[in-house]
Amino acid sequence: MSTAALIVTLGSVVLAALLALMMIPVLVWLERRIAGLIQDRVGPNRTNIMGFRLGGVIQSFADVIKLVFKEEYYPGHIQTGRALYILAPAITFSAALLAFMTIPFADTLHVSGEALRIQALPVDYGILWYLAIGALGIIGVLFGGWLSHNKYALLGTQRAGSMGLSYELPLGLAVVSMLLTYNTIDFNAMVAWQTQTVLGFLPAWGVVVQPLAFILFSVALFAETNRAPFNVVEGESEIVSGHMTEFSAMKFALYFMGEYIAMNSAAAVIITMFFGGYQLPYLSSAELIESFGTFSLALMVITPLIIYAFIRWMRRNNDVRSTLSHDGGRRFEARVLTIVLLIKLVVLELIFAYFAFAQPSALQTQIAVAVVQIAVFIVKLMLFNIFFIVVRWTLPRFRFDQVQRLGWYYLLPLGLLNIFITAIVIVGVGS
Amino acid sequence: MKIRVVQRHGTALKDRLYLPAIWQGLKITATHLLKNVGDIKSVDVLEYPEEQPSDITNRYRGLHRLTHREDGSVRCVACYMCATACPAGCIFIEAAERTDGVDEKMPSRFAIDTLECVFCGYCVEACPCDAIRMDTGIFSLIGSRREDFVLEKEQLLAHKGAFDE
Amino acid sequence: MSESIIFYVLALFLIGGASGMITARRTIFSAASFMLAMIALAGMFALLNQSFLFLAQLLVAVGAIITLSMLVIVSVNISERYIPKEPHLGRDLLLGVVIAAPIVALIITALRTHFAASFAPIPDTFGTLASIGATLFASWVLPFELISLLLLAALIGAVVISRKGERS
Repeated sequence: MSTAALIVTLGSVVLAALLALMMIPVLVWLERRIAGLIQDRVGPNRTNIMGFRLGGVIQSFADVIKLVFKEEYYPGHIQTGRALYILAPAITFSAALLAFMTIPFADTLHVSGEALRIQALPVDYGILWYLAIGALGIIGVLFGGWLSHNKYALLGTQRAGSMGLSYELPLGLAVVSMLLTYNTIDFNAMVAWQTQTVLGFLPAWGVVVQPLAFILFSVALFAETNRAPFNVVEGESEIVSGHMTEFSAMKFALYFMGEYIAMNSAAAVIITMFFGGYQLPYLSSAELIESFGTFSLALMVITPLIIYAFIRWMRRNNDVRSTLSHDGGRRFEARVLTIVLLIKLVVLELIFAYFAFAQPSALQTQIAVAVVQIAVFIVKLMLFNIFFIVVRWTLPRFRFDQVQRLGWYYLLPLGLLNIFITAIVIVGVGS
Repeated sequence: MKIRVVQRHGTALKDRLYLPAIWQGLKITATHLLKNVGDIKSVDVLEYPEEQPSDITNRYRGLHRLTHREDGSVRCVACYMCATACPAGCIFIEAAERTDGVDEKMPSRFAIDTLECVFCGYCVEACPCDAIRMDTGIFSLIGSRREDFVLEKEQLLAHKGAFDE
Repeated sequence: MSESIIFYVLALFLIGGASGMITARRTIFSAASFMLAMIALAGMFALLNQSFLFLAQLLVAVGAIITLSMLVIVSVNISERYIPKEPHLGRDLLLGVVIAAPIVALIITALRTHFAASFAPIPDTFGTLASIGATLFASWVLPFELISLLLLAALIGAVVISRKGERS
């Protein structure tokens, strides 16, 4: 393997692992913070490292440390299958992590004749891999819940198994209609297809071309990842924690992390298939590489404005009420973060100036475009994760029979209808 | 016989579709989220322990206190009415002969186990001498051992009322 | 060289999983061994460059069949005393191996001699979804449609069987 291929592969693997694993504390923090702000209260804001709260992210790290150091307790009533009982959360966690590995973060780099994919697993059957490995995640839930030898775990397991199975059908049907539209199973080609325009001015994103498939896919993914309003599996007020009741410390942490990674990959797949993935709305990769000079100039102008607005917002909000005298180090933190952001701004401006005014080589432009696309991907990913979280704190939980009814009576026929309509439109437009 | 036709909710297409309702709910939550993110001070939250609650009134049932008469003697006559009325059984009294000659009895030991107490106020209602009151306004008792939470007579006599009589 | 090692490891998991499936006393361990065997089989498909079969094996065998089997195990919830006791399991399995050995030897010899002819190098599109789809819809349309009829019959049969309990 050439050095370029080696660097790109290693970099993609590191990026995918970081995005999947480092996103977990961020997602936990976002969940608690957004839940608080929606309910007119603040989320966690006390844990700090030497005064640095960072909005409460430190709380997630404290949670991780607690889970790691908790006592590993094996309940005495679990006599059979202890090895499988310990292995089950690992199965769910590995399946969730592996399913994330075929998502492209940037367009394929063409370096000295080679086509290097920016995917952790550089394969061209991304969507099928996601479906197959995603189905593996339910196995861990089934084994863990059954071997827990617990009534509540049994109820949760039954619900999880049948719900996961029922919603794989609308999921697959929505995917089939998208495969018909995009004519490929490769995520990169799907994203490239979405750089066209529809009706002259709308970007040909999946959500514009196939709104029904988007709704089906999103609802099915909400159900597959056991996120509200489909969290009847971990009822919390009904069946304690469902299949996770008898698991403690690291085993529970693996289930917990597996759920958040699954939510993350679900958001990633949705944005890749329906929202243009790593692309900016009207620019394809080739156009971006050509016009990267002007793009850098535009970024040079926009970035200071964004950072200035962010610093103002931060200084105003990282403060306590004026009636209080003690601010717990918040103003100090705001000042330090302002300095850090200004240093970053200077560095970024230098980089953008280099790309706007000096003549960078083709390779450097390609790498810069890849970095921009990764940044766009991460921004879209965070937006979709926030959407998942806001929906969780908006909707009440569905009852289990309502969930099954929705999946079999409404979503399955709608999926089939969507495939028929898509096929008719494609044949009609093609001829 | 009068017939009254009841309109069934939730049968219109817009209701069964469920998505318009989800959209309206999302609008409400999103407005709350954006308003609170834009200005964190619009969240009406008490920054405890820097800010203390401001709504403690004289009816608030805080920690108990034993009252004194005007001449400084203990009002309590160890009649056991509060211990009998307590639903949690957390008051432990031992009576003794009174030494200052005001009444016949006084408690030699008056202990309240605040870990068992449900703060219902029945002891205050049962006392015929207005000897025990719960108007200290103290809502937070901290200790590191179980024994720290059993308040003895001296501690209860030392608590001050937070309001005027 | 590395392919041989991967093949032997996968074969170990496959044989171990399959034998675990028939010898395990509790149904849950039987299902777990079955899952191991199916994943090893998927690995073997991947080793043979069949990307679509690898994914289809994972999707169907693991994602659907094992999930459904586990769901049935969890829902039916058979207690220990209704599982039939197999006192002479080892002896019966050995007898089965002895009886099946000549037939297996015959099949292996037949395959060896039939495929001992020269192997043409495979094209680049071997095993991809596009090539399988093209072959399926170009030369094998009739069996494809007949299989879909078979699936329809199975669906209707399942619905009929599950309704029969309601009426009686």
